[in-house]
Amino acid sequence: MSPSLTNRLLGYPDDARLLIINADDFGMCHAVNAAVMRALQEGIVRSTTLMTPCPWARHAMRFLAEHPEIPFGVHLTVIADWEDYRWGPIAPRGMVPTLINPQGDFYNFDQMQPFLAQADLTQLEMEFRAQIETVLSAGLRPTHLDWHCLRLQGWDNVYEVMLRLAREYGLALRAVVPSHITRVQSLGLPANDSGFLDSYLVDPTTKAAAYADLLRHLPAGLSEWAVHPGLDTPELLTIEPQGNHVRQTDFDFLISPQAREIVQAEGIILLDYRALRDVWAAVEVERVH
Amino acid sequence: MKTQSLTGNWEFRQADTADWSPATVPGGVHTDLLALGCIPDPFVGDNERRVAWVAEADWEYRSRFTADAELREQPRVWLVCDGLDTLATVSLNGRVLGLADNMFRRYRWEVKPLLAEDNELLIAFASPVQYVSEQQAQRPLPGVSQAIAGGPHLRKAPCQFGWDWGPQLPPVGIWKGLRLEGDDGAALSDVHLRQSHADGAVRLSAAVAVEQPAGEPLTARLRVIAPDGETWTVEAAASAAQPADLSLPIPQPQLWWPNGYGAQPLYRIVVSLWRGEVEVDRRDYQVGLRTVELRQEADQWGRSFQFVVNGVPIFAKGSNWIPADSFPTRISDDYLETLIRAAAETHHNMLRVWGGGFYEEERFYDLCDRYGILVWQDFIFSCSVYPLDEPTFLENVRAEVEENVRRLRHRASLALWCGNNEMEWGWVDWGWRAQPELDALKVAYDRFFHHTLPAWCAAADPDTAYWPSSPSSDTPFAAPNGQQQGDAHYWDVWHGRQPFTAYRNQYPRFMSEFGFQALPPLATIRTYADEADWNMTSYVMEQHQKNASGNSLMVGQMLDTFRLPQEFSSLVYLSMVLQAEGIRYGVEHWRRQRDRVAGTLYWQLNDCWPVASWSSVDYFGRWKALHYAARRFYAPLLLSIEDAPPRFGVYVTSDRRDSWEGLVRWSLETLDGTPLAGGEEPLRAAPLATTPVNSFDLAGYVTGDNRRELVFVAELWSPDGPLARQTAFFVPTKHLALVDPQLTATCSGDGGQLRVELCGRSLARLVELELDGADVVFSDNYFDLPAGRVATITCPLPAGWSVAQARMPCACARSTNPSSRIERRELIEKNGGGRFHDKRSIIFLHGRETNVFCS
Repeated sequence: MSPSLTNRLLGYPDDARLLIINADDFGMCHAVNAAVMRALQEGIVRSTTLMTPCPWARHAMRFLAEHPEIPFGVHLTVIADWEDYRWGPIAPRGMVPTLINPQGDFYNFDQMQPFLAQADLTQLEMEFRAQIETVLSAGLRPTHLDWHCLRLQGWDNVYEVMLRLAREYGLALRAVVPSHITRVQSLGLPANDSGFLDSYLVDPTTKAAAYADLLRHLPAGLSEWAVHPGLDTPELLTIEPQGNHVRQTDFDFLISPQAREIVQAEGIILLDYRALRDVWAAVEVERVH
Repeated sequence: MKTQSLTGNWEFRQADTADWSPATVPGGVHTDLLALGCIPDPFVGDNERRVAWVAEADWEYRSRFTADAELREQPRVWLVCDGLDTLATVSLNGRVLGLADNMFRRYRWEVKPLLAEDNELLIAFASPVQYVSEQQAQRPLPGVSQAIAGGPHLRKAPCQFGWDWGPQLPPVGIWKGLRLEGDDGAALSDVHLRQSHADGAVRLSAAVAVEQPAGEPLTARLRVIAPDGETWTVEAAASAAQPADLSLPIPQPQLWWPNGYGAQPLYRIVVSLWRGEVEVDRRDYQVGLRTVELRQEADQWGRSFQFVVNGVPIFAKGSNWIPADSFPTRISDDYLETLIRAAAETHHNMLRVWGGGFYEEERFYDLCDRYGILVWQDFIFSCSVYPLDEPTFLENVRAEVEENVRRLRHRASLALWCGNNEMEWGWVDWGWRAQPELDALKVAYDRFFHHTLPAWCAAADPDTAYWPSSPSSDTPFAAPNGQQQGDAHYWDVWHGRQPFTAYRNQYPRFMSEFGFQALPPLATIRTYADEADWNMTSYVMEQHQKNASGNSLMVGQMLDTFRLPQEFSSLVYLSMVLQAEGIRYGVEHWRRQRDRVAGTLYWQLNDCWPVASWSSVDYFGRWKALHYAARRFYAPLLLSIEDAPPRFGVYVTSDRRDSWEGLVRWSLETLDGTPLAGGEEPLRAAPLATTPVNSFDLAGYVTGDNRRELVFVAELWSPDGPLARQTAFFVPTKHLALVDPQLTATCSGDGGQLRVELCGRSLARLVELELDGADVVFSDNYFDLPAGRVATITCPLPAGWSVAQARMPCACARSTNPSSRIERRELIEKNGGGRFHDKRSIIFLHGRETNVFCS
């Protein structure tokens, strides 16, 4: 295995095991917000990303404003997952017609591929930009960009829009798809290069053991886990009836003493995106000058 | 049985997008996009990176077809997909038939209730890259550093995710045929052909399992058609309750032999199922009559590893086979035959179908049967840790193994089932065992490759030997790459930067992998790199070098032997002759140890794309210098020199089954041909053995001053003329006092052949011939030509050419006088065959400036 390029870019030894645990979907609903806040303050979560178009985004942003020490990113959102709990664009609907369904909301997840196939990239950029500006205009300073419910495999053009925005705003960008990781690294920028885990793919019935196992055997290099903490409140159970307790089981593990102990015992370095952001921003500056 | 092919009228699109485009089936997304001009050629420049998105996306294939009326009337109708690559959801008329997740399996679904007159078949392919990445994130498994991580989670050709000679371009699509099959409930379900040999008599048998509608009498028939057309038939009642056992003796059996040991007569076999006078199902086979065993007996060195065919111990001469194209559906029948024929023409008698590719198609084994190439067949596991403790994975593999063993077990060419490539070695030496989280997988490995898989093989094919891993000692985790027993892979020359002479310290019982890289010929490089990139370490050239230290290893070894090349074309040439010299050195040594070492399979025969690699034949079928060398070092009668200057041992190794008489002539001479000593030795070469000819101590002739000017020449003569020539030196080539050999060439045309006679005034080292404007295979190339000898080289005249237009640039390794003049000589065509009417003089250039290589 070749040494991690990212470790070198971030100034860590080749054998350092770096892990970003990012709580996705901050702002989606109250049950998610409550869980994310606790996981950030009591658990092993070190980073979160904000869904600005969602109903509970203001609540999340107020928390971030009160806690400037907590690093967070912008969870670029153009998909609305749930049947009866909807959201839509921040940009005026008339300016982003290819992003919305006839009801004026974002498309559902199961329509993701046809949506991307017909989405106008200019409109997509406009909406992404609106979401970033919403955060900036609230006086918040994000570290990075990632995205909500998009399978970007095969959609390099969409990733390129995000990459352009990340570089323009001096933010880091999540990389998941192998060729996107290569693309980011070819620019001399750090990216997760040792595995990306989406917690929705982990079986909730055996999750704690699986997470513990993954932590114990975390490879050298930078890994990222996109976790989805939430509380099984009536609100969440109603929004996400088929959720299969993904969010509650994520939350349970992330704040468990076991998780903390394993991280400590294994010498895993928990990172957030600030270290990456600094390199992304610096490389940009060098190019300008 | 009624069938209807469904390979016509396909469209494809990126999943859920709007527009459908025409598709070819069998085929794949990359080649379909390429045909539409939607992606650049992935084999050019760094386009591999630019098309990475293709295998990361999801895709859909759709066909609208009218079902044959006759087929629809059958009581049972199946959709049969011979190969889906790989994660496929198959739907007919909007209903999901099933999911496929193994490219090595055939899938079959009953479709009678869904089949209408007009139908739509939809096959949705999920991205293999996305799948393995997700699986890898949940359960990281060690694999190959040049590959997209996670490949072992998916039953798909491992090298398609990338290897140290292959690009990361996993294909996606319908990679084999598909069709509707209809029957009335009576069908062959399994045929097991076997042969028994005793005292020269051969009996052929078929165990025939059938599906049978209740109470209907059925008859199974075995028909055997000899190569001369004579036919024998036997039949018996067949029932679903018990397989029918059909057998018959083969009168005057004609035995099948490996290439070089005899002919390859093939018997046609037809197994059919009859209801009364109606044939309801049939299967056709070709069978060669032979016995093959892997003989392992205790001996003074440990335990032998000897393939024995028809009672004759065979020195296995061959190479390792990888998939012939990254996009396997565009491998043409012609190209496949070109490669197998290239193996046979260089005296190969074995190919190892390496476990990082795929089980080959029928046509591959058809060719191996015809050309006498034994097949060492790996199961498809390679260099990685596989999740063999997961029940669903294991069940998937069980179906794959059973299907492929049943498919191939009757093949004359099939010599061995081998569990995997280099995984046992991995467990012992690659640090996997230092990872405690893999303990359960080591247990699973042991259980699977030492117990489960051999049991499956023995049940389905009791007649073919099983070997757990390559390399292996057949003792779990005990010195898997040792030299007392079992096979060995020796990579210290190359990865370990050992000199070629290190081969002589190795005495494996069977060398199943060893190799050295070369660049491909310049004509091939031209297809992927612009002239501006013609530098070994340019960005584009390194995109086509997947072994991270490969270029350094090549150059390092090159400078031990040759002078620093001055230009790119010289570097290309030197890389090829270096590879040829190195592998020759090893093979000659191991063939001399014939009693101890029972075979050599160099890595690797072929390429899957244009690349710097260990291959002897490149992606376009061009012979590198190594392939010409193989024709010499794998010849049935091998003359070799064990050089330890000033001593030279001369040997003849014979693969003939009879003894052979001839002559060995030798001389010590200066490079310009002045003899200092010489003589001849009568030779009686023992069959299947190495016969020492003599050992010459020439210390008395060598001084510190003349050692750079001397060559030792040995020649093997039959009563009809010279068969082989070898040279050896007292100093490395880079220090030889080579001068311009002033080669003269005399050319003639003879029927469809060009014939050139070369002669020089001084030794020409590693002479390279080309035919300007055409790819041809010469009778020999990259050979040494001592002063005053004549080398007669032939090649086919390309279709539509006259001899007059043939220009043959010729180059050789040189060590002095790099600016020597270019000679042009005009030679009059000898119009032997009367075919060439152009009586103009023909010009042969020898030493064209661009092709004069300096070493």
